[in-house]
Amino acid sequence: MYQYNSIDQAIVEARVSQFAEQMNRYLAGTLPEEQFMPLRLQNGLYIQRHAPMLRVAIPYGTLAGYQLRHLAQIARQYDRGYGHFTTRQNIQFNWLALEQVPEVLGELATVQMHAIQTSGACVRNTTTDPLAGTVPDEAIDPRVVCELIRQWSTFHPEFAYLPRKFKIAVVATEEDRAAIEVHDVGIRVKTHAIHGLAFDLWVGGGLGRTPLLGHRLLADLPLDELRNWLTAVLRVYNLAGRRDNKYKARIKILVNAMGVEAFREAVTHRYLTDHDSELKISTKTLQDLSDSFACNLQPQPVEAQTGTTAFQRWYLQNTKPHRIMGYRSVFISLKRPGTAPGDVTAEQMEIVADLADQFSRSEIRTTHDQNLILPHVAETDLQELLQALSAHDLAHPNLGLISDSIACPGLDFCSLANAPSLSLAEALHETFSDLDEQVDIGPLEVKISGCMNACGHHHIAHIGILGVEKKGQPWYQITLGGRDQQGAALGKRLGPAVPHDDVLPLIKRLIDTYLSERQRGEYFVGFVDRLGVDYLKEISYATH
Amino acid sequence: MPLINQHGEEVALSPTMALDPTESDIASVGNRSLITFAFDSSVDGKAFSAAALLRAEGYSGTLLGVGPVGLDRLAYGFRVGFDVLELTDAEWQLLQSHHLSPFPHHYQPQTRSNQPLKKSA
Repeated sequence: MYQYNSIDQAIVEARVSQFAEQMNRYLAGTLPEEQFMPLRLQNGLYIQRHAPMLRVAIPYGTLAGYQLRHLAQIARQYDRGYGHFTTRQNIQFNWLALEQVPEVLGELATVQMHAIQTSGACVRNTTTDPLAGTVPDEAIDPRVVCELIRQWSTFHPEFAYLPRKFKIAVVATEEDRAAIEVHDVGIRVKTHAIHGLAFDLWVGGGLGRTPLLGHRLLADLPLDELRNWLTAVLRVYNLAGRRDNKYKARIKILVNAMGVEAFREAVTHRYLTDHDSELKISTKTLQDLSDSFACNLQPQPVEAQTGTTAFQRWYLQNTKPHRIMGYRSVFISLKRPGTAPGDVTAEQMEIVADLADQFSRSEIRTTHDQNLILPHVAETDLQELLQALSAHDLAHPNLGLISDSIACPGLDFCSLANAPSLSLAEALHETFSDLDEQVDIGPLEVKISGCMNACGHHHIAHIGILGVEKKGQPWYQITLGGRDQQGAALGKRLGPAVPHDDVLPLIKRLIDTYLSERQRGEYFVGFVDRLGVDYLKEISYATH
Repeated sequence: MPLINQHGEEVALSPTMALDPTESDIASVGNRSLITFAFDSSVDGKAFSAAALLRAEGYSGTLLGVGPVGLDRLAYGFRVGFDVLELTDAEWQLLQSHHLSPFPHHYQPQTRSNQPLKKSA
């Protein structure tokens, strides 16, 4: 794992002092709210429905055991004993006292963590493939690129006050496990015959009120020029992006308004005119960063896995192959009945931290689907690991199944939400409680957003659920057929919104239709593609 | 309103008419010795890019930023290439009584180094 050097540490500590000083001025009344708001947001601090919420950065979704253990301590000491992992691989604390936030930031800094740029109109935490470094076909560990972007974008003086938030995702494989097409900028790193390492650049994707897939703006750019190209993209955006209407301020709106060709021309002009040799990435920098992420596992002999039915089911559902023979990546589902998706207690964080130390080179990953991964587990340790996870309700074998749903905090916590999300996630567990049935249904992504800001990513779900307000009551729109990987697509609206209690019966009818009419080997999303939304609308609303 | 340089000192300067940041490439600047950019609000950062762009293109005259810059954005402004930034009277008083420590390091090699904003003599 990447370890902070003295400069990284000094910057994080300086930010703690700076924020404490800003907070003092705010509380003393010498810093107006309109000036304090961007400062607190750029430090991940929201004023939510019940209490301030602090979003802590987990760069590229990688945590060390000691860091997770410290998060547990913060949850216990300053919050209500739990944390919430988000769809951007971060963690949120929902019940902090405002005046204690600087102290919490100080605690985070002691374990090389922070809340810098986890919100606000700036470059946010760069996300990536949660299996980075464990899959065989990577051009490079994408966290190397993420770390370069983290450093380049942290307190970048030119891009700290953009028209709106700016999200970047990076992958380094053909398979896209980071949804690069629905980010402001998506980067795919690849090997290249001439450049060695190159990247393709997507721009203008995003969800929210105006969901759009990004455009592949440029291809085959040498990786060492990444920072110059990002500077060009952001400079064009910062100068020409709209600031008069926050709903029209994302880069996707600018790209569409200018047209892709004109935007490409503007970015290329800036790149050529403003090119800075100091932004070029040296081979040594790339190598040093690559070395810092290397896990250096030795191949192990592999024997056929035997064990109980429960073990076999967990093995098939919740573990993935590792590029090093004899190892697996183990997913820990945070989608269990009675628990909000992504929520983990302090005790469970400590358990996972201990298990990471014992079985996974002290490394933990967070995923976009609000789960955790122990990325480097020897196959010979799997039985023992499963026992330990089971003892703490962390072995639910539902990865990628219908109950592994994403949900934003919704009306229960968020001041922007129109409708509850968490109660629907719970209803999903109740309706599809039989694991055999879930396995029979197969891979199915359900994502729930409590408002059109789409924090639950409902647009890119096989079944998307969006909370809307209708005459003061929460209703829900259903979309079908969205996906975020190869051939990314936005879901199509199924029909009129339905009240809360009708959502699960409608989904049940959809699933029953799928089970009775699917073709051999056809997954739900393929079934939707084949039959079309209009046909499924008739069935879904037949008894409504 | 006080105009402050990167050493935290008040300077006398007559602002020129503010240039539109979106049009501020070197071709339209000509040989002006002073260019003024206006910040529309305390969250408007367009002029940061305008200043950075002019410096990237070789402009060596004086860059002045006016409007609601804010104490907490002074360091960003100076680092992207502004020479002088405007504060409110209240912010200027606060700056004279506080020592706003700059960050000891930054990650952007192409930008100017942080300068300590010292109390005015």
